[in-house]
Amino acid sequence: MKKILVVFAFILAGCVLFKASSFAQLTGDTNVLPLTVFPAVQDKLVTPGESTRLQLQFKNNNQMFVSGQIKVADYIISDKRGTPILIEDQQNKPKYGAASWITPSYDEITISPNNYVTVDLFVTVPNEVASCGKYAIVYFQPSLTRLRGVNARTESASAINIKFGALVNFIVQDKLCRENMQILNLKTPGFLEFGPINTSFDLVNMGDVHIVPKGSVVLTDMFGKTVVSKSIEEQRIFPETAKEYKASLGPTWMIGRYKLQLDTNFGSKDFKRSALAYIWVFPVRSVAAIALALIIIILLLKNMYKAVAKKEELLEGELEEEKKEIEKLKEELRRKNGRK
Amino acid sequence: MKDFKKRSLSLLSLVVILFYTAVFFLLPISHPINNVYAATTFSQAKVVLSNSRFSYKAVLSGTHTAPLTTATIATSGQADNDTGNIFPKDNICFNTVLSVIGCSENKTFAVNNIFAVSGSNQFSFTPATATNLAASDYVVSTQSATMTVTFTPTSAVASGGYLRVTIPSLTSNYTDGIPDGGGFDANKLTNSNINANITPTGFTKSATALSYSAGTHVILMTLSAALAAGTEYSFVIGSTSDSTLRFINPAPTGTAHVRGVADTYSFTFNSEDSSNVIIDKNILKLVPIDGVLVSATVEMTISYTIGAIAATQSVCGLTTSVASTATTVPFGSLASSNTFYNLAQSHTVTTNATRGYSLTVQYNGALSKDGAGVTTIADTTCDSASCNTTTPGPWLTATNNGFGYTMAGDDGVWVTPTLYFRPFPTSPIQIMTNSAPAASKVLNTCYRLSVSGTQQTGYYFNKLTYTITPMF
Repeated sequence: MKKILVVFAFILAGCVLFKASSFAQLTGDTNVLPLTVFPAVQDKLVTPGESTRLQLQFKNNNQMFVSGQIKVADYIISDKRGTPILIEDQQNKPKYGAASWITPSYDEITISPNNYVTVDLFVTVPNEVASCGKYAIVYFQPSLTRLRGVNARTESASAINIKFGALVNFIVQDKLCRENMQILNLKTPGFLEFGPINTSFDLVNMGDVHIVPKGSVVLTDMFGKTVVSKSIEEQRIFPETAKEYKASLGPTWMIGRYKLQLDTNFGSKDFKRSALAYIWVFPVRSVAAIALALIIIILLLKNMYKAVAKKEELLEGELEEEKKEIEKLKEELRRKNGRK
Repeated sequence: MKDFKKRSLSLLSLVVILFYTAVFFLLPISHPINNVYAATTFSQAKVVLSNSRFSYKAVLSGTHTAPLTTATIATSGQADNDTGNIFPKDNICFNTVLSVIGCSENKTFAVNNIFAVSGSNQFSFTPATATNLAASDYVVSTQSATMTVTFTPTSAVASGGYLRVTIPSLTSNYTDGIPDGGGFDANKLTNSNINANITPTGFTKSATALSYSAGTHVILMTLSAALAAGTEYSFVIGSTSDSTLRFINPAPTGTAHVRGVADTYSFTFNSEDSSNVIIDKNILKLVPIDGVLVSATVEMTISYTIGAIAATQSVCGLTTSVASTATTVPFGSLASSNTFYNLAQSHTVTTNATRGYSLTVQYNGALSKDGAGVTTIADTTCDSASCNTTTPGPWLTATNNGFGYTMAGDDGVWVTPTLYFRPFPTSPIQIMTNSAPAASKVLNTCYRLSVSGTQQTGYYFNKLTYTITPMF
């Protein structure tokens, strides 16, 4: 009987401990959900028919377990800033989507506190690929019920869903890639009073693979001397989209006609595209103010000169009068002395 | 008589011995004989290369049609048969005919990346080639170095004496500026400029000559002051500023070089008197070896934290009425109609992604009874119907019922004016972004709800989805 009681006590203690450890998973800080993913962006060269593997790591920076799903979606870029928009509706599968190529090693993962999980991404490239650039996003979506735990309330609320993603970009080799780019909307002011000259332009990727254009904007004066040269920011441009670039060139004080030349190169064969614009810079108001000030100064000086000259003339007249009077007095004195 | 003879013989022997002893000791002093030395070795002598890396010399595999930014090299039969000794940022030269000095297009190309595909070795470079390259055209990347010779003479060398260095070279094409497998190429060093490109320390020279012959380059320095025995001297061969005025390091010897295995070269170094008789002599060893690329990759990461904000906190220009959690915005029991219920959450982002990050939000529909999507709490249109999903508007009157959000903090798409709200959209809309790496950017999103007195009772909920990604 004693033995049975002892065994029962052990079983009971084990159950209690097990239960305690189960709850321990849910007693972390539910007020924060800190996560890290790396690498956040991967570019991978592949060939048609190739099978390869990539890896992603998701880190849980919290003191509680986090469970969730690993999902793959296509993405598109529709703005000029490069904001990825997830497309999960397979009915509207985008032209450059690569989600169907990727199979994650896990559909669901649980990340222990302050630890990370590595997810293998098995990539199968079809033999026939329609475009050179293919793009997908792999994301971790924490499970809401697990996070809320046993204390989840049923009350009016908005539930928060998080998709924490990394970009996976493929460039298909051994295929004739369509690489083309245009410079559009080169905007410069036709006339400016002062520098610097602010310019903006769009680089439009007309190809079927993303490009990272390089190049410079060069400002030269009317004598052909380079005033300033600035490299353009290197950034990816998604196929069939544009990115806007901005530059501010030259000092504040500039005079004359300036040439703004944009030279870019892109793609595997270093294709070149250029554009130019001319800008007049003349500080009209400053020059007018200086001219006006000069005229005023000249007039003032002229008036002052005139006044001085007139005064001198008067003084000379008075002096002549004085001289005449002295001569007269001398004459009178001589006459008086003669009489004596 | 016998004694006398004996004594005479002993005396004669003594005189002869004394005579020869005197001759032995006195002759070198009274009659110094030039040109007769027993050559010794230097007390110490060594040569050090400022860069001991092998030059690179391979050939192209197959025709390379311009324009091209990728080269594939042959994998056998050459000094270099792989890309193991070229690294990103190295300058490479395509040399169509080895006897022609100079590079194809008269320019060098910068190595971008090294990668191996399907058993053939490839690397990318910039800019693109403008002319076609044929199979077996050379791909070279020269490594040159200054050579520092340090030595301590065992025997003094008088002024007018010489120092002679013999450097191994090939028997042909040893001054063409192209690396040689088996010897040092003189590049642009000539007899007329060698004197200016040797820098002595501790001694002076009046002239330096450079002569080439099949198998050796010979440098001969004429001393303008004596070298003392036991004193350390040194000299540097090659320009410290112009790499073309240095000897070019050899490419690996033979046609089956194993990476990591060095080749050994022997330099002869002599001190000589004014009649070119060797005083001290050493064989110096030089050991070029493959370079080792040391690299580290800093991974591109994004860290995102969504956090709760407690009740009665002042955020976004309002005071929160209920505490949120990281995963819920629990409005709880809405006991009062035409009253604002305010909740908030924080979003913290850190990334080293070059193009920054984007945080978007969307919802699955208006707050609806039991989530059925039939009876709903309408989305806000703000005061005077001034807002929509893209344009925020002021919302200060609680009788304008609805559900919406505002934001305040770092990187928000709009953070002023305060108390401008807008409703959530069903398609993702950006709320937080930065086009550059960002550290600990914090944005608060503040949710506001007001229901009318006729709102049907029940449990209303919906789902908000935040998506965080790097920018493309």
